[in-house]
Amino acid sequence: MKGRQKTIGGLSRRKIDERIFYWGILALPLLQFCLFWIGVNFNSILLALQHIEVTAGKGNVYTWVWFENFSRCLNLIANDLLFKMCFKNSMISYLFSVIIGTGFSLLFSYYIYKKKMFSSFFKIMLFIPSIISSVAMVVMFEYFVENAYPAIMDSLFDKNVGGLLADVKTAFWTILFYNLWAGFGGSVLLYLGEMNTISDSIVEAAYLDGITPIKEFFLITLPLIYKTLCVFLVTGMAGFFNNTMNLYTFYGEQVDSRLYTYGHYMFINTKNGVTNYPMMAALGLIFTVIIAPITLTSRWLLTKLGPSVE
Amino acid sequence: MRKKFKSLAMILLAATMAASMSGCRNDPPQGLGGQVEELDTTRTQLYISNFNGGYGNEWLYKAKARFEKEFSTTSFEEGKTGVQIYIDDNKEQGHTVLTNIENSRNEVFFTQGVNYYEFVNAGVIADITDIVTEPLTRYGETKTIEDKYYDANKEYLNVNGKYYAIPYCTGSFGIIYDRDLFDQKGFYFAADGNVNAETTKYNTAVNNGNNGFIYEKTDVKSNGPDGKPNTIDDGLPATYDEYFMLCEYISNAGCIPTIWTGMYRTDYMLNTLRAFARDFMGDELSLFYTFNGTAKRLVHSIGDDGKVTFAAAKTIDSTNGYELYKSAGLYYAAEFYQRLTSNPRYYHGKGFNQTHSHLDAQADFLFSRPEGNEPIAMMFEGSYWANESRQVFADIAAQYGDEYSAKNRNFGIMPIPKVSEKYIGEPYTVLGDGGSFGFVNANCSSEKLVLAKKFLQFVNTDVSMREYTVTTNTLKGMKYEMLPSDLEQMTGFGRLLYETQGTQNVINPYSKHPTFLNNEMELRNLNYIAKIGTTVYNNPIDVLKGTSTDKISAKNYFLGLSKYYDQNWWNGLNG
Repeated sequence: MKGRQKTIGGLSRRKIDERIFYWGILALPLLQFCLFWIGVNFNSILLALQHIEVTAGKGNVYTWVWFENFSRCLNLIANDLLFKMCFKNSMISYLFSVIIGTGFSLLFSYYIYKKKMFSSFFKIMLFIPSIISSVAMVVMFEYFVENAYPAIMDSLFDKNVGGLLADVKTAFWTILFYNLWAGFGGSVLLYLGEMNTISDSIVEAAYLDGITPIKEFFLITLPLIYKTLCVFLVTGMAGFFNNTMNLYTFYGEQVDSRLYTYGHYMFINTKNGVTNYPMMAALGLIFTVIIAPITLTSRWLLTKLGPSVE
Repeated sequence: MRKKFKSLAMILLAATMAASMSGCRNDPPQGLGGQVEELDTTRTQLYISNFNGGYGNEWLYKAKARFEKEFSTTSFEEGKTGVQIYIDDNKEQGHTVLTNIENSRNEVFFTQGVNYYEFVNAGVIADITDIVTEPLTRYGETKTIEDKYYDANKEYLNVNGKYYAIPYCTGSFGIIYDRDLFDQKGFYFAADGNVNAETTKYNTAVNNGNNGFIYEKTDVKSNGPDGKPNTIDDGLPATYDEYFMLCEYISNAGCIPTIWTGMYRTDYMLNTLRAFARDFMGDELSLFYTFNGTAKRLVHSIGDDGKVTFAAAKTIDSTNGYELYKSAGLYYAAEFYQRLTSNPRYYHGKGFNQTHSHLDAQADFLFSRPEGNEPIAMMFEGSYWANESRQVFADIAAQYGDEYSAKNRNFGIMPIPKVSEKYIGEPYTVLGDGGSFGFVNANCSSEKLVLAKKFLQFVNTDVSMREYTVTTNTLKGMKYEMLPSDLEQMTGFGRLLYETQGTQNVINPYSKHPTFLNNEMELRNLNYIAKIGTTVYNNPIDVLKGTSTDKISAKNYFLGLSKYYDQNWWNGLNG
C-alpha cells in the first residue's frame, strides 16, 4: 500500500536507521569507557588483592593476599606520620579551595559580570593560567617568587630575604596561592557564563524595588547559579585524595615530605616500581570508599538545603 | 532536514575519528640540530631511544654514522640494502620506559634509572646473550662483550645463563675543583718538612704561619686524603677540618669556595651527601645491597661534642638490614653538610634558589674565573658535568680566548676528605652507576631484532667505547683501554677521570637479594628519611641547612633515621 513503511522485527526502517546512527555515535566513547574506566578499575581491584614479587630469574610472582594490602593501608592511614602530613596538607588545600577559591571566584565573577572598573583586565589575568601550559606558568611563577620577590623586598623595604620556595614553611603557602590562582580561570568562566544567562528583566525589577548589589548577589545571582556552584563543590570534594597541588611541576621527584598530599604520595609511589602497585591500588580503593558516600551525601545536602530559584 | 543533520553528524564524527587517528602517524624524529632526515625506503630503518641527559647524543650520532657505513651493503629486510638510523632524544627513564616500551617504535634504548629485573620479568627487553657472548672478530677483537663486564656486572646481569642488557654510562657525584685556580692562588696544603711523607700519612704543616697552605707554587704539598706523597691528590684537603680551613682560605682570598644548583639541590646535594657517607662506609656500602656481612661502623652513641662511639661489630642479614641506617657515615656526612651551609661565605648565594638550574651553576662556575669577579673554586656535581657544559666552554673560549676552552682548562675531582686523620689512607669509595643500560625492545620484528642487536653490539666494541669516552669525556661501565691518541683528544678533566678510575674503590649497587630486588628504587640510593617528633623529613638538604628555621642538628637528624628505618619499615619492605 502506498506510504506504508517496511518493518523488520517490528521496527520500522526509520527506527532502525536511528538506532544504527545512535549506537554508531556512542560506540567509540562506550568502548573507551569500557577499556579505560571499567577495565582499569577492575584491574585495580584485582591488583589490590595481590602481592607482586620481583625475582631474579623466575619472573614477577603474583600472589593472592586478599585483604592484607587493605589492612596495611588502613594501618598507614591511621598511624603513619607521613600520612598524617598528607591529611593535613590535603585538608588545608581543600578548605582553602572551597572557602577562598570558591569565594573569590564568585566575587571576581560577579565583579566582571557587573562590568566594573578593569573587569576586562581581571578576566584576562585570571584566565591566563588556564591558557598557558602549567609548566611554563610554574617556571614564571618560580622566577617571580625566587628572584623578583627578594629584590622587591630589598629595594622597597631594605630587607634581605630569601625566595619564598627556599623555606618549606613559606613554600607550602606559596604553592597553595599558585594553585588557587591557577584554578580561578575555569571556575570564573563558568560562573560568569551562568551569570550572563540571568534575565535582565529580573535584575531591573529588583533594582526598581531598591535592591543593593550585595543583596542582589545573595538573593538573585547566587540562587540562579547555584547548580553550577554545586558542581564545583561536589567535584572538588571528589578530588580531595587526588589533589597533587602541582608539587611535581614545582619540584620534580624531590618533593619535601612536609609538602606531601595524598595525591602526590600515590603518584610518586606508583612511579617507584611495580611492587608498589598493589598497595597503591588498595589505597585508591580505600579512598574511593571514604570519599564516595561523603560526596554523594554532600551533593544531596547541597541540593536540599541550598537557595531555591523561586 | 533530519537527513541533512544525520549526514552532517556522520561527517563530523568521521572527522573527529580522523583527527584522533592522526596521532598514530609515525613521523621521522628530528636529527642532530633539529633537522629531519628524509625516510629512505631503500634502506631498513632502526629507531633508537636515547636519554639525552648529561652524556648527550653526539656519541650516538657518531656511532650511527659509522654503523650506517659499516652495514651499507648488508640487507636486513627483503628488497632493502643498508640501514638508516633515527635517534629519538628524550628524557624518559626508568619506570616511564617500562610503561611505554611495549607500544614504542624504538628498537634500541639507552637510558637510566632502570630496575633491570623488573624489565626482564616484564618480558619487554630482548635476550641478547648471542651478541654478548660472541667474539667481536668482525671488528678486529678477540674478546666478547661479556669479557668486558666487571665481575659484579656479570653476576647481576646473568639471568639463568642469559643476558638482557649491557651497562651504558657510569658516573659519580663529588667535588669538582678548578685546578687552574688552585694553582694560581695556591689553594694547596703544605707538607711538613720535618716528617717523613712516606711513613706519616697525615703530614700537613698546620703551623707554617700560612694556616697550613703553601707559600710558593714550588712548595711541597701535603699527602692529601690517600696519605701518600707524589700522587694526584697531594695538597688537597685530607680531612673534613682541612676542607673547612680551605673554604676559609678561599673566601679570604676573594673567591667563592663552592657552588651547586639551587633548583636541583635536593637531588644534587643529596647525592653529594651520599657520596660523603659512602666514602666513609668503604666496603660496608655493599651491605646496603647484599644484606650479608658484618657492619663495623655502626653508631652506638653520639656525645654532645659530636664524638661517635661505635657499636660492636654487627652481623647483617635478611632480618636486620635496617640497622645499616645507624652507619656512622650517614652522620658524618650530615654533620659536614650542616657545617658547610652554616657559613654563607662558603657557598654561592643561589645555592637555595629554586630557579638556579644545574646548567646555570655550571655556567657560573666556568665563567667566574675569566670574568675575574669572585672566581668559584669548587662545584658539587656529577662527573658528566663537562659534557653538559660543552656549549658554555665554547662560549667562554669565543669571548675570552682559547686558553679557556674545554681542552685547555684543567679541572679535577677532589677525593672526598676523610672524617679525621685516623681514616687517612683509606681508599676513595664511590658508588658505580647501577641503573644505566642499553637494551633491545622485545617487541621488534624478527628482522629488526637482528639489526637492533647488531647495533647494540657495535656500540660496545672497543672502537665505539673509546669514541664514546673521547666524545663525552666520561667512562662506560665496562673494561676497556684508551689509546694515547684518544687521550690527546680529550679534555684535561676527561683524561683525569680515566687515569684515576683505577684508584677508586667502586661498589656497584647490584644484588639478587629479594629485599633489594623488590625495593630497588628505595634501596639503591641512601635515602635520608628521618622521623623526628611527629614529622617525617625526607629533605635533609633544606632541613640541615645551617641557616634553616627548622633548627634540627645533624645529630638529631641522624638519630631520626633510626626511628624511620626500623623493624616495622624493614618488615614492610619484605611484604
